[in-house]
Amino acid sequence: MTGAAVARPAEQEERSIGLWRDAFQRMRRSPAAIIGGAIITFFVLMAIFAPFIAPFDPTRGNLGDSYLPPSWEHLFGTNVQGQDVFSRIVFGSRLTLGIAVMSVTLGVTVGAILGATAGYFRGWIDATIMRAVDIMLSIPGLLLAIAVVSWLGRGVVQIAIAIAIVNVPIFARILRGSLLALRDADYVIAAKSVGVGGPTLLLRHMLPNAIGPLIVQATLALATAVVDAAALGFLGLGPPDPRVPEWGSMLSDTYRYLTDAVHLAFFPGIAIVLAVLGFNLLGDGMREALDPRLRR
Amino acid sequence: MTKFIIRRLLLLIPILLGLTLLIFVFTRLLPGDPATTILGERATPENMAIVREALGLDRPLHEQYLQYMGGLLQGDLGRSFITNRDVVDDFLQRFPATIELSVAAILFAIAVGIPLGMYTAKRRGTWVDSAGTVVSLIGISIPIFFLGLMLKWLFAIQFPILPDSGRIDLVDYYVPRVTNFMTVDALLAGEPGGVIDALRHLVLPALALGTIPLAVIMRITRASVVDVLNEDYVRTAHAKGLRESVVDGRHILRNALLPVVTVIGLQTGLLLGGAILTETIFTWGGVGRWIYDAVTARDYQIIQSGVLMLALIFVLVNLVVDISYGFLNPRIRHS
Amino acid sequence: MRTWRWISVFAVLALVLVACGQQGISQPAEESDPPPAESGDAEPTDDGSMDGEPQSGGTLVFGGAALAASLDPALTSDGESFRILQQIYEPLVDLVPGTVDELEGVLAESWTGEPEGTEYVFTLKEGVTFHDGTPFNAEAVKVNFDRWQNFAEEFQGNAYYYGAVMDGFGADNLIESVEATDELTVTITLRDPSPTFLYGIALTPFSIVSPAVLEATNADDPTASTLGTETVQGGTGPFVMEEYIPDDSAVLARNEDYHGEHTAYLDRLIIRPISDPAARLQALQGGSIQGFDLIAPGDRSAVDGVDGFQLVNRSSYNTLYLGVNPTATDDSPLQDLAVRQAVAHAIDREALIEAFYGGGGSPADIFLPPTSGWFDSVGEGAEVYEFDPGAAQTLLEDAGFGADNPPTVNFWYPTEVTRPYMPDPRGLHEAVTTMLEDAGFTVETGSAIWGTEYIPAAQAGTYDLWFLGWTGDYDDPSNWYGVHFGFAQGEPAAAFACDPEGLEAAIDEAEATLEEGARGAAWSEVAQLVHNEVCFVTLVHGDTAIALTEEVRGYVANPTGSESFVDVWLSGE
Repeated sequence: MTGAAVARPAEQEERSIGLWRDAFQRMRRSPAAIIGGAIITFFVLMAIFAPFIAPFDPTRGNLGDSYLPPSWEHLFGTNVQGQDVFSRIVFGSRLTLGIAVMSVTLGVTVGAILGATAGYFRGWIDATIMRAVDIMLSIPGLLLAIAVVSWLGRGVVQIAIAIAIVNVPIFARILRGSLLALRDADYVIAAKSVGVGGPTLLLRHMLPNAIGPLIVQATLALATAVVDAAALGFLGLGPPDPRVPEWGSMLSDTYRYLTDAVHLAFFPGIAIVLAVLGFNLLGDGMREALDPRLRR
Repeated sequence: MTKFIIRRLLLLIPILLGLTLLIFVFTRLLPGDPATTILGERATPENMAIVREALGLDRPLHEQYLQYMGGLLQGDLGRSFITNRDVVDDFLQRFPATIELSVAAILFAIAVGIPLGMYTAKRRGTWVDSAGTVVSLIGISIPIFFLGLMLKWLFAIQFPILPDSGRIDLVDYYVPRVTNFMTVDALLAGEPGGVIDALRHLVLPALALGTIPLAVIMRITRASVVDVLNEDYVRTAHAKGLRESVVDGRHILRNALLPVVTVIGLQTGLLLGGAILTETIFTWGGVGRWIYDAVTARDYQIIQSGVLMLALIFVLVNLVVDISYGFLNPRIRHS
Repeated sequence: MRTWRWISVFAVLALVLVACGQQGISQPAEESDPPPAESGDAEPTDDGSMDGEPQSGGTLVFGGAALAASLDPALTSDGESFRILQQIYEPLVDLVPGTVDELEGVLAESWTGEPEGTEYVFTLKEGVTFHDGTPFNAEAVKVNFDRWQNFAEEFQGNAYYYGAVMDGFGADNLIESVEATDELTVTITLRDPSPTFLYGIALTPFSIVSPAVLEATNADDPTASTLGTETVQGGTGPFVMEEYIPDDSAVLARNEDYHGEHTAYLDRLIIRPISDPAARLQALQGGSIQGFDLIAPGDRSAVDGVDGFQLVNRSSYNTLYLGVNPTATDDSPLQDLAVRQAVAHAIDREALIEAFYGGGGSPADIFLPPTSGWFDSVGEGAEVYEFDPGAAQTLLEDAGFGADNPPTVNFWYPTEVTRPYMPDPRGLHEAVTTMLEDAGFTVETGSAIWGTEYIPAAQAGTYDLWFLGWTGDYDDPSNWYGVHFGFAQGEPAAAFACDPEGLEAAIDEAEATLEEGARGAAWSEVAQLVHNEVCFVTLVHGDTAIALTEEVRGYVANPTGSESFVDVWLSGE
């Protein structure tokens, strides 16, 4: 009896490795995941090789070259400072991806710790954490981000922190939900019955199985992070140095010229849409791959 | 059921209490204060000291909080530090604008999202379905402000067939404000043209704000209809030879409503956040922009009470959503 | 198919809405097709009052950046509030439209009083009634002046202009007494001579409100006053308040009993708040407003000379400057006068005007704008810094700086704001940063929210270099140099830490010199000290402009800010 009971968690682990491999296989067959992955890879490469792709220094301009229309020299034209818009979009990918990754990493980490604590300990700890989560969730996310940026001051790190704070309660709630569902799973009960407990149970047996939804949500959160960062930039809360290229700020700096030069607002906007779409497609593909209901 | 509602309502109390404290602390963490906003270029230290004292900002923080809470418990949500207007009056005057816009956006999302979701679900696996998936994903991926700007540029400036901003044509339709729902007020004023004009003003902002909910509703409808289509009773219904439209209406749609209600609950927060951007672009005098302006102006009283009222509405909507689950799905009610 | 029925119902609804709109919208489109008959190409765009006989009637919707901060005129200090309130309320005297230093009587028929003297006697206009029907008389003037002087502390912060013009509140401020000598005569006695008193009381916050309304609205009780929030009939102006909906619209209707030369031509004037300059232009192009103020300079070309629109230029009475504070950071390179001069020579004002002001502006050689009556006398002898990057580099080299040890300065700009003198702070900052770097500086960028963070920090003297500007309240050099560089308890203004030998004495001397010729010369001493010492670099006087549709006539722009709509009319189509 005991032998069998001990074997089960191990078996479960093997199955979970199989699950990942299986999920990866499924993702490779999902057109959504492939297109999304391709778009994101494109932007990542653009960010890494920006200095080689961009024909001009994105921060240098000459007032004499203001508002040149798109041409072979300036693919997307120039802005009021005479800077090359194409180069700014290329370099802007660094900031956008950077903020997205930074904020989601931070949000997942803090959210997962809170969610795991709540889901594992239950009782008053759970109640306190979840009430706090409810409170945070009852404030519109963008408003919360605006408030945090206003509080911390403007800057790239501050923007990432603001977006992370918006995400924390979401991640906490998701992980807690998955953990609760697992509490009654056979193998967890079995592991407990043989004296596996405390952090080992949580970290080795429960977390790996609860993490799927978290990863899907994290990918989708990358998409919202890109939108939120751009929205903050649009509202004038982007990076303080105007020479740092950021897509949302580029849009808000130029949309007043919609009638004369719609391209100035159009190209940064399209860049935002593409990046968001990429993360959404990837997350969607992942969800399908990881969704147990769809597994056969 | 009653017990469930009461329990949920009781749970509201700690949430709202925590919220007041959180928002209060937050407003005071923001750098600057209303005194500097009031004075602008003329904010010398002496002038600022006078204004701070006048606004009661020179007193200890706990005193300020207790005073705020004291007023709150007596139903007094305070006055704006900058305009000295009653916060509740201001809220009630703007909130109908936000409601009108959000309802239009959600109606648009439902009216287009559900049929499209059903349509693609029935053609699962075909190119129509794939196209639908891609379109809905693009819809989810377009930031509200970008979509709003492009809609405005296209339909109000390049091809001016719809109004660019505002809630009604103020020259042609002078409508006294009664409810602050522009469509209703125009109706009350006996101006049928005004109603149509107000609706026309709603089109672009509602499209901008409604596109993301539309895409989400479409996806969820598709997924749940796909599930339902596989259920035995639908197959039975088809086998019995029921007309397709009857099956659609009676069986599929009813079951598919559940996720839609969920989405409405989830999207309320998103709508209120998106309202800030939509209201900015279309100069729509609603609560979103009002609170955003209060944050930049550090109008503490508006931030505190305004966000509180928004949060309350958000929580209540979710409560209603949870309750309506029970009615839509007996299984949940009993468990 | 049921699905399609849903979709088609929605599609039909959408078509109806669009179709209904086309009828309304097609009007301006048709208009622009035939060449406008009555307004030829030679039409002067800065004064529409020339073309044709004014016609009565019509509603004008005008886009402002915001509605009024308060409806109590005494508690306002910004142009958007003035725009609305000056249609409703009137002061005793006002500036002649289009000027900055010529006064005319409004509620006062005439007055006597000299800058060197302390007694002013106002003879009031006869037969003026407030909108509530009560008569305007000397007693009403006294009630208002007494109310301001005795403002409760809670009001004093918002009553900025009263405090500034009258040197504070209470029994020991500038006002010694206000007497209603008879029904239509008011005698105001000042404690000391004040050359700016008359210009001060020409400001909208000194508008006279009906005493009956003051009483009915508890206007003296800070916790109960409704004067600032409710629709009341307390003014004497050409328009009465019909409906005021915060963040939505202010609806003003013609005052049929207006005491002026003629009643307003417009039936109604509606002001809509549109905070975003781009949205204002789009609203004009989309047809939902017929005019708006403060067009973004980059947008001038979208209106100027375009069929169906006109641009009314407002010559500027403002100045953008680059604040220079040598003591903001320890060991600041700006402590060296040569480095400050290098900053001044590094900046190409003409390029800034071209790129950010749409050409509508002029380089600011001195702080006072050329529209000021004091421009020549005060500006005499002050150092003017030409754009000369070579000179800037030489100055830096002579001061011991070079490519390997560049002078490092921090340079700040405000967010959440545009000002007439500063249409695009972010863009201006970026361009000036580039110019400073070209001259050999290393620049650290900072930004902060205008009202809540930036102004206090700049005032406290924490920035090396920063943008700020000034729009004159009335035409007197003390409102420019005095306000900015005045000493308090022997200390220079913290923002600039500008303390050259003799500045304090020069300012005291200038403030005390009341005779006009000598006053100009005295302030010129001050100007020379601050400009030669490079306490700031004056950059641009930014013109502003009002964009209108072509049927709007009679709009005359005032350099000091907002305008009365009493002469504005709509030409019939």
